[in-house]
Amino acid sequence: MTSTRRFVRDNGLSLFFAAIFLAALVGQSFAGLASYNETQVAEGLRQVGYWRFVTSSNFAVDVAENWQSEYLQFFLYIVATVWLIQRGSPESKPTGEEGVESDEEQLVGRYAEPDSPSSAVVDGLRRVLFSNSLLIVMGVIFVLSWLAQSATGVIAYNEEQLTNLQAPVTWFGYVVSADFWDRTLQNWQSEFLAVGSMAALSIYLRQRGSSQSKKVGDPHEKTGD
Amino acid sequence: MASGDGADACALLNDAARESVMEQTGASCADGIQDLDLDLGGEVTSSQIYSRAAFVEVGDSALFLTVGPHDWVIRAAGCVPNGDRPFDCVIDGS
Repeated sequence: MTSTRRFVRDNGLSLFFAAIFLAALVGQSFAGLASYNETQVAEGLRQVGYWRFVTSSNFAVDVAENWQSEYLQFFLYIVATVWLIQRGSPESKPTGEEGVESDEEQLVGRYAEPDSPSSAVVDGLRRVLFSNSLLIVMGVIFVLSWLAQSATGVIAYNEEQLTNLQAPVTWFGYVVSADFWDRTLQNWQSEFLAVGSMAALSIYLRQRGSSQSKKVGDPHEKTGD
Repeated sequence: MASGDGADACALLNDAARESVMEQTGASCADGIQDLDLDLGGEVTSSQIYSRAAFVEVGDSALFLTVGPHDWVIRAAGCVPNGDRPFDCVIDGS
């Protein structure tokens, strides 16, 4: 097998989702452009071209509001699965294993194995950061994309306000506004529903061959991997 | 307009705003705009741009602008707040 084919085989999951993410983002840019220009025409205003639209706050807020909710979903799911159990779900740790677990169970420090990452072996801040790196990165991306949603959202909102001959608002006024929280909460509700559904449905339903499912023959009571 | 040149003022308006002037005054834009109760002689106290829309406060009233073919054009002028409703404008091209 050539090294390219091996790379594709070994990274298929990431490559597949990267490809469909890009396709959907490009699709969104065209749909968003058409929708924006429909509104412009209806208001007697000038239409915009593709590049002006994809560099506009209107496009950016629609992207950022979805990204922040995805990363919040992962952030909450990762932290919740440390402390909370769902009996029967492969998404959950077995009962009795709530919490951050012992060093021995987590293969850190003197319990690390020969092929453990070096950051799992060393003591101190480096190990603490590495031990929480998933939450840290998810949390940082969530905060940054939520800030991006608010910054681009206030510009897009104010453009609409001015189109309607209404007064613009400040950033502070926008982050407590109905528009901001409507966009935010409609994204959050679907994210939380998705992970909750997955945790619950995977108790009783199976998908043969998927890493996200229990084995077809596993009992419903089996919890965790 | 302070110098009495209605044609120059009309050149700053978008098409809908010009039509608004003509409908209100029954005259051409250049003539009609002189008859409107429009005081733009004050100081610009604020100007804000949001993507392709702008809001400029001049004296006691405000202007709403949009991006035109070559430059910014005025959609509405002589606008004053009206509670939570849209501004009340002397020239309304919306």
